[in-house]
Amino acid sequence: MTHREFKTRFLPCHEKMYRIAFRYLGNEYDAEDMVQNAYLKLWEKRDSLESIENNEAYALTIVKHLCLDKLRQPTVQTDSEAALIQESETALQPDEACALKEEMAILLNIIGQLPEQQRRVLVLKHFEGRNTYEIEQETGLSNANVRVLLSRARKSVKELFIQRL
Amino acid sequence: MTIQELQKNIILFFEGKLSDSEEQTLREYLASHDVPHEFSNDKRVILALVPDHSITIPNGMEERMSAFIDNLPDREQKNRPAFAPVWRWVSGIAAALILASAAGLYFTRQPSKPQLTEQEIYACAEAQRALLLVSQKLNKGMDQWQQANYEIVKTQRIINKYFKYE
Repeated sequence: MTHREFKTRFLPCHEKMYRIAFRYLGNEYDAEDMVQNAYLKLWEKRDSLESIENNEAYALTIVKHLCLDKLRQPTVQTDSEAALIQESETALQPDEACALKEEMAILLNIIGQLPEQQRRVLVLKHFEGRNTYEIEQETGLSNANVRVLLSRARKSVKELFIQRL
Repeated sequence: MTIQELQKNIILFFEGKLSDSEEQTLREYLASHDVPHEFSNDKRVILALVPDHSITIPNGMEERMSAFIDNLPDREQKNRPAFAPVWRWVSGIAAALILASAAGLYFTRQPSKPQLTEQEIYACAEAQRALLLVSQKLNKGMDQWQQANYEIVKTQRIINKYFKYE
């Protein structure tokens, strides 16, 4: 695959990739960095991408996994990282950015403990930006079921989130 | 939004009864306003859960990503050591030599014949003679046994014939 072919397939996904990365990481600098990492990873796998039917879904999955890996790492901030964050256009201070990352890590950990269906609906809703109709289509659940699962999931998350903060 | 409306929307959110746009409105309100203490935990959870749809893509991001992709290497650097092909030749030649030596040894080596003394040769001949004699005696014995067997059968027939007519 040439650079041109690669860009034709994956460059248009950059906006959605960025939004997902921002959703997980909470700041502009980390989000763009993660999109770049995702492109690097896709490029390294380019020989095996011919069989991929949905380029966007694959690219978004790569970004999501990279974000989750980053959130699992301990939040040790170096001086250079703090300086870069301050230089970026984000309104967040370094300590705020760290707190957001930790909160997100806690939230994802809690979501991971939810029952399978609740977790799936919550992730589709709040991390993959699907509306209720799209969730119904993807899961095969009825509108009422989706709402009930979402309600249970949100209440569980609230209870556990407050305990862990 | 009044406190009552805020409370109602929070309850509806946790019951999954707000529409997507209503959730966004609630999120935007919570992000930009202070709330009474009793709603502070709800606020934290809602802000963490509901994504901010007002995220803008940084200016020039597409160009930066395009330039980044253009600079990605065409072929991965293979970290093979330079001497590897030489060692392949060496090991191949060594294997061929070992095989040739083993084949040569196998085909050229003859088992050595035992060297016997005159006494040992005489002893073997005597043993052979003795075995022949035993065999002859055995055969003779077999013949005699067969003859005796024949006589017994013949006698039995005569006896049976005698009792039949009596």
